[in-house]
Amino acid sequence: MLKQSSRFPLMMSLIVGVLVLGGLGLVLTQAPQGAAQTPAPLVTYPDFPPTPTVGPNPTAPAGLASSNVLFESSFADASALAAWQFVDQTYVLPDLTAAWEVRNGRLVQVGSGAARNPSPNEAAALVGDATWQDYTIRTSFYDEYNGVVGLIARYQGTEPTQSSYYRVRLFSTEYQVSPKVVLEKVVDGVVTTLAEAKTAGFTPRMWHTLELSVQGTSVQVQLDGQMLVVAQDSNPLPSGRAGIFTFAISGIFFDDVMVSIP
Amino acid sequence: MRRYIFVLAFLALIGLSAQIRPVSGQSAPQRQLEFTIGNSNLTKYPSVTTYNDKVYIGSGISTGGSLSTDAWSWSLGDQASGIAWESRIGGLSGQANFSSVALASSSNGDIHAAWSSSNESRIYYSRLPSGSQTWSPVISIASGRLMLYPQIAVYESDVYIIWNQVDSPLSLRVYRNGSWSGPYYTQYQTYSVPASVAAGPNGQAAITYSTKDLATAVAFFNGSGLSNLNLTGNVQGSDSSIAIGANGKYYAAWRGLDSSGAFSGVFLGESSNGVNWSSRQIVPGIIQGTVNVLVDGSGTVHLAWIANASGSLRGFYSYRLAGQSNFLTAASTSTSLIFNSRLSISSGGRYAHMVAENFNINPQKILYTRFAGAPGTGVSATPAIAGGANSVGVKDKTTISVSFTDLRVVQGNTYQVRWNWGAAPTDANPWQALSLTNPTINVSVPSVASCSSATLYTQIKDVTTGVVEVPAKTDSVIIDSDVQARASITNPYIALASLSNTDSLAAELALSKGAVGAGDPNHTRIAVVYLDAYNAGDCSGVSSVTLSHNGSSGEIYKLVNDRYQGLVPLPDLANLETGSWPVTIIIQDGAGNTQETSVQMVFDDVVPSFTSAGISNATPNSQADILQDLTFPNVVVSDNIYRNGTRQFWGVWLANSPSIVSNPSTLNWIAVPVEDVDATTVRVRNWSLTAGLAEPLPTPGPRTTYIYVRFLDGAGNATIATPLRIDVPSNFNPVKVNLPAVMR
Repeated sequence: MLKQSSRFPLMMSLIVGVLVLGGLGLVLTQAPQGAAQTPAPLVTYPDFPPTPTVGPNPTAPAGLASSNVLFESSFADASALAAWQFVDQTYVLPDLTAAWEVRNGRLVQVGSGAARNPSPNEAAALVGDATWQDYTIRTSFYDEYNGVVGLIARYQGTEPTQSSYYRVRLFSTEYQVSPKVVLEKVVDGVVTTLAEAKTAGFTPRMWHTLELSVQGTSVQVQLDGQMLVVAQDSNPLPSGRAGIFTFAISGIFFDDVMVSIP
Repeated sequence: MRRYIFVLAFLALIGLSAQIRPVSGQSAPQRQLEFTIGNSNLTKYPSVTTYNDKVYIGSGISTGGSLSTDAWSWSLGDQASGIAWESRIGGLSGQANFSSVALASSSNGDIHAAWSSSNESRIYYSRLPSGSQTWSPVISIASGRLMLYPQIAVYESDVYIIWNQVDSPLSLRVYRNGSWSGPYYTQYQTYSVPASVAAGPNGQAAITYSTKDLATAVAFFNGSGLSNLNLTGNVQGSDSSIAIGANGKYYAAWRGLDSSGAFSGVFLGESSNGVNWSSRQIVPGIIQGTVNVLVDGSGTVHLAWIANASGSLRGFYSYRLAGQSNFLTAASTSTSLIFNSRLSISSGGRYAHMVAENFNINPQKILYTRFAGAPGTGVSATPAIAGGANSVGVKDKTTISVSFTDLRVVQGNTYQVRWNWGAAPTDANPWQALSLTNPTINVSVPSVASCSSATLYTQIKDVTTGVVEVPAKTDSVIIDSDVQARASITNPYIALASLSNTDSLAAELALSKGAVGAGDPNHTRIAVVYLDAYNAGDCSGVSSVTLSHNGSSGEIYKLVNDRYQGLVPLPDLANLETGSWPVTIIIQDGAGNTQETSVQMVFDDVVPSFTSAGISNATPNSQADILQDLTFPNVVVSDNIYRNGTRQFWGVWLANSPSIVSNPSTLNWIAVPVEDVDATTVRVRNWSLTAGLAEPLPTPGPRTTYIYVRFLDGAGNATIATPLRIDVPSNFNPVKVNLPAVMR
């Protein structure tokens, strides 16, 4: 009897001890790991494929770098923005002008206004001066989801909706529009299509290079070194600034912009 | 020692139970359906609202060119697979960004629309009445340069419309009690993104908007202006929305403007009073456009937003049950590159409907996505007035019974109900207990004209959780406050006398076989009366008539096509006795109203006794002696019941004969009431000497007609003594009719 009565509290102690340790262990293992830890989100997203990693920029073709360069920028830091004029090519509210940033060594279209909301407005970044005549503007670009990229040449004017210029617009394979390539001439805000191509468009989420060349009456567009469209303009625009073009909906960035003459 | 052990054990159990999270009843939201609305070209800031199980979508669209041209609406069922109906709301003109449409629904099912037309510098309003296919005439509620992003909220019949204006505060106009007021202005100027407005019980109306310096602010309408509060302080936040729960609690959601970290992502603020807010980051990351928050009747919070996931912009939806802190794993749109989402919920929160701009297409169109998974409101009960009858009788009643079906409740919780005729209940309508075992209440009779429709609104409340059913449920009924019907019982022989042929009837009924076919309407010599009941304009119809005697159970006769005609037994037949036999007639209409009348019928199966009479005579009509006035002086007849002054007989039973007969009973006898000439003499006027004679009738010429006479009591019982006989000489001149001469 004595043995049994002394064994009972021992058994109970063991059982309780296991419960206590188990409980405390669970609490400790599930508790936040330190006060500095970021609180867990109160909602989780479903599983998606990870966002594709942005690889290194394409290297410039041999020979291009040795040509006569009018302008180039690799967007090393925010000071690179000083060379550019950012314009909205459609009317926008003062709050909603297209926003651009230099981020990670690239020029990034980040939406519109201080709130960075996406806007379908046409946005351009211009560089150079009105005397530039025959040149090639080349850029690398990486499109996450914007869907539209373009280049501008011989841009003249101060009022964006009434200016004159050549512009090529390319659309991604995911954007349901046709044609996918449009080369156009804009005179005092009035658009005339010079050439278009019903290609598949560019593939998003990978690096590409785009070139727009103006030589006298000739206007040419190349994507990744391949000729896309060529047009002759018997009444060519004389000269003007160069630029890049997209929609102000974010999701696209540019790098290694170069303007060079033959 | 043992006490110590148990304390430790208790602590251990607490430690284990801390790991248990309530998960029952939750299922992660799922995307059910997604499609692009084909003709929604150039949409910007589309809107969605719901009423019961219907979804309504609104947007400015372009029917050609680069400008928006029309305010448009679409509709589909909340479990349908495609658009079922669409309609132009009105016109608009301008750049798509500045020409958007907002929709909201009211508790009666009306859909309300507000839209901006930038080229016209106006905000317009229209309403789609419940059940209608046509929007009401458009009215302009504001004009001014660059008025943008109208939003609308409706609670019962109150309408709240807000809009932005560049470099200005947000504007609010309010429709209450049949008129518009405002505009009222927020304290801060707005940033150019759409704001949000919500309306709730007790006249609550709340706005959230982005200030010029990108703080998220809220404003509350107090009836004459707006009180304002900066929710995010110095931390930037924008693209907010706001909701008001059934219990009056406020919910606001917005996005942080950082791309990552503590000031990025989705935020949710909650406040019971609108002053003290508790805000939390729900998820970090890059968010675009409005963060939508809604709360259903059970307190489930629904969130929808657009985030950068897997390198593109997708829409997400999730919900959080009342009392929980975590949202379920979000469901996403399958389409990416969408902007500016809006959300609405239907079927008590079971379905969530997101609309957004689909920028994968040129021009952009509306992407509609339906999600499901939330359990829906746990507080719901459908009223059924008078058990769901089309009409209810309220004659002599002060209350009507209302039962509740389709209960969505938590067993064990306590519930209350409030009600109101004609509009959703307010605080002026008191809560009363609602039993879950017998969910029936009595409501007072509405003050409406008889035969008009009345709509009852009810709301139940879970007292345990404080959750109130929203929107109120309704049931309509025709109020019938009176019986519009007639019913009578009469001496059956009066009705039989109108029949052309009674040969097929039993001898005691067949007048053709010698039965007396007349008498006092309230007397009968057999245990039968003639019942005639019919609808005299009752909107609910007449269902039955019941005859009873002195509280007897009575016999019920159903009306067919609103009428009953026929011979029926006297009620309480087993106890029938000679003499007065009061009969109660109860008519019941289709709504249950009853109308009661009493008739003093007399059952008299005893024949009267003839004692003597003076000399009867006949006086010919001056125009035609075929008609004779018969006079009976000093007739002495005794009856057990019938009394008319001193006269104890109702009329005479007459039979003509061209000759004297030995057995007058074989003649055709005709019952005729008599009129009193004086206290001792009665008369029958214009008795026809041809009455009852068989064909061919005698031709004119001098002859004598023999009229046999017996006397009748009120029930038609005839004296059995040898009949009197009146010998009437005449020329048998017929009645002549002189027609006017016609000249051509």
